[in-house]
Amino acid sequence: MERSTINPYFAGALLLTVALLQTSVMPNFLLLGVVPDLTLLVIVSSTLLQGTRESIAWALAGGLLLDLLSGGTFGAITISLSSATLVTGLGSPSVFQGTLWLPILACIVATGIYNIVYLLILQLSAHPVSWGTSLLQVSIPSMIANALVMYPVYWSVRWLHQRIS
Amino acid sequence: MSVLQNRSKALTLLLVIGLLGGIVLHPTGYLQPVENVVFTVLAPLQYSFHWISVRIAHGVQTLRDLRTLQSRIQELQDTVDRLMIENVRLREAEIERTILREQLQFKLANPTYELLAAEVIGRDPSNLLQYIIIDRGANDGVAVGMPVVTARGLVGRVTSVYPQSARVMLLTDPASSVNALIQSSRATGVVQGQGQRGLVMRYIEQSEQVAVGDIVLTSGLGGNFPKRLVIGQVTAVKRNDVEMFQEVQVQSAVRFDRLEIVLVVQNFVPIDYAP
Repeated sequence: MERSTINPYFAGALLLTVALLQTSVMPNFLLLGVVPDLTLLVIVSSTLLQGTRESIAWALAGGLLLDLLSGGTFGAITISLSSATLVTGLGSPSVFQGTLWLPILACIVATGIYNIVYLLILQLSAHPVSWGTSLLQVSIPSMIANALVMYPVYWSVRWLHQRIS
Repeated sequence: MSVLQNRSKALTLLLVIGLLGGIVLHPTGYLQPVENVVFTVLAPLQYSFHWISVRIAHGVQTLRDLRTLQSRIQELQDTVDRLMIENVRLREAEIERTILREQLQFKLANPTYELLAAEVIGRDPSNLLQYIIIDRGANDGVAVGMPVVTARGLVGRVTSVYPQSARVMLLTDPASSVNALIQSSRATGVVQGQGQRGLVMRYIEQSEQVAVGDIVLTSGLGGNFPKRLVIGQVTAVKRNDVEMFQEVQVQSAVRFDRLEIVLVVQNFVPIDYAP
């Protein structure tokens, strides 16, 4: 199925704005003690609306922006976001296309993959990683927090997609 | 015609007599019963007329006010908006003043430190890492390895510097470790970050006495941090006979998720700092 896509310049501006929001504004609005991964949610929404091919570009651009703003291993966020996008893009459209809870399911799966891949990369780059603590106190709360804000993000991206693509 | 004129004359005469009688009798009080009867009859009527006239007057006033009401509402709304903004600004100023007062007290208590105040402008995009970004960088003399503190204690250290900003690894980051000592017993160990779980002090010898409530300070060993900076307070001691070391949970007074203004210790040069 041919899907419409968002102008890449606009997508770049959008991702830059979202990355800045995530690092500067969202930390003031903690949900369950974690910051919702706004960029991840925008990219998951984009995957559901535009398909995997376009969204991989979004994941790479958004990931590089976040990597620049992060103190972690460079590239870790980009790889994690791309992995989450690939899995979400492969699985969701075929199996649950059109269902109301698809964005929530996709968001939960993507958050899980994003965190696991990120932790793996940290581990491989000799950064101390406590798997139990990270999964229980960060990943699971992140899944719930992201799920809570997924709908507003998804509808916003869909609204933009309908007007700008 | 003449009958009417006669009646009118008689009425006038009667009224004149009544007037004169009233003038004479009123001061003496003989008219009081008549007055009572008159007032008893007239009072309800007076009240009714008064009630109606007041309502009419209010109605007229309201109609007059309606002309200016719209503009007055707008004026009041503008005033409310202005006061609300001013209130928010004053509250922010008050919070900032409190923070700066604390920082100033810290500076006065530590005159040997050359401190640079910096505002927190960002945080790490990953929930798994604990970094902040501050609005001071190489242009302000900030260098990699400089300790970052608040009046409540040690915050972390600078790990990357850019012209106008710098990245600071918080004590709570899993990659952070600081040589520390217990203030009362002088037992040494290493305080490590645990992300969301806070701080833990490891490698304290079993023979050392550590109690809940003890203060944990930087030991200065290793040369990465100045001596005697407050890290936090012991909240739990985990001692196991089969382990070589004991481990304690440390609670920092710093709210790492609510940092707004921090101080960079500029006159401390770390030894062989490797981020």
